[in-house]
Amino acid sequence: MPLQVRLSASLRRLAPGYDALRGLEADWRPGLTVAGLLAQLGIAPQEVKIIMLNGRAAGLGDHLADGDRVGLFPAVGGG
Amino acid sequence: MQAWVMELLGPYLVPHETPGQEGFYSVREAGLRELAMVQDRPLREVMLACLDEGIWPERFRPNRGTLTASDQARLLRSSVAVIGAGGLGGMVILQLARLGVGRLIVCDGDVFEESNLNRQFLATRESLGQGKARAAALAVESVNPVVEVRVHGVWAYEDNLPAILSDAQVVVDCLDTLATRYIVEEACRQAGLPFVHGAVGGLEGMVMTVRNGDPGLAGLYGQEPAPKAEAAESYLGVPTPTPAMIATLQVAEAVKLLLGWPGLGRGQVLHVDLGVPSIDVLQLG
Repeated sequence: MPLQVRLSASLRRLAPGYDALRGLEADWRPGLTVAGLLAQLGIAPQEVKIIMLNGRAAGLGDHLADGDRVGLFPAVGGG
Repeated sequence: MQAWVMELLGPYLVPHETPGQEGFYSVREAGLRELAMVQDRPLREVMLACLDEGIWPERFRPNRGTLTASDQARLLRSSVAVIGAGGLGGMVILQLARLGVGRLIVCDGDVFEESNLNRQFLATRESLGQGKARAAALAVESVNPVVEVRVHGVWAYEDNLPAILSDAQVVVDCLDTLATRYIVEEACRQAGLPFVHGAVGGLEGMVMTVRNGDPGLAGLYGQEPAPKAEAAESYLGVPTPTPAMIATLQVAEAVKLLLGWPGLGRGQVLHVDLGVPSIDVLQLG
């Protein structure tokens, strides 16, 4: 099963054609980390401030399992 | 009901009967003002005396059912600091005034400019060029004169925050830069005050309640605030509907804190996306 990836706000500009309703699917392989997923998506790690893995906060070094849900968020500070 | 109430307020009392529910009286502002004059007491105290008798000031009557008279009285005796009176803060201030939070501490060193008109409810053609904190006080006065507003027309920083926050029970973060938000959060931590964070970028926003010991902004973004140029709003702007939505959620959290009701839990962040649309809870570590 592919990974289910959701991009928030300004990160969407880094994935042309991103569909906010469906998110995007990414290939999984054994040993893949969040950092590896970002490299696969072409997103620089410093762009990502919050990583959610299946609804809980995670880090760049965390390993992903087949079919995981990953949410990636930039900093948000406007008012 | 005590005899003095009927005697003094009789002509101004409005009975409310709903079949199957307990009846109650509300009182119009004219009656409250007359009572305040006769008894030489502030209008706010007269409102509190009525609420203690279960009589609802008409202006608060639609809060009844969700709030009890004693909840409403508690709000009227409460004090909230709103740091920032722009897109988030203007709406937070207007809602807290209409809800009947008795004292608002408003801090903002900025003045209104044309580019605020898309989303800042206190920005009008008339208020352009005026200080935002002062404009907030004028707007509150026109909505609910029993609300006391303390105006701090200055920028919040480490040195002035302890004095600004000294009488507050809850602090609502309505700023527009992460660096200052971190400073206010730290001042709240030192003062032992709960901090209700709200931030927007594009059609998305975040709300988080930070109590002592919670991960807070560092748990969300790391120890150092991201520079303004990297934050979502520098790409996506701040369009009209988003700050009002996030401000509403901040008001709900602030009121729950004042009333001791359960709200967002430790490490929980509400993430709102008006584009999808969706609201979900992110759980920090």
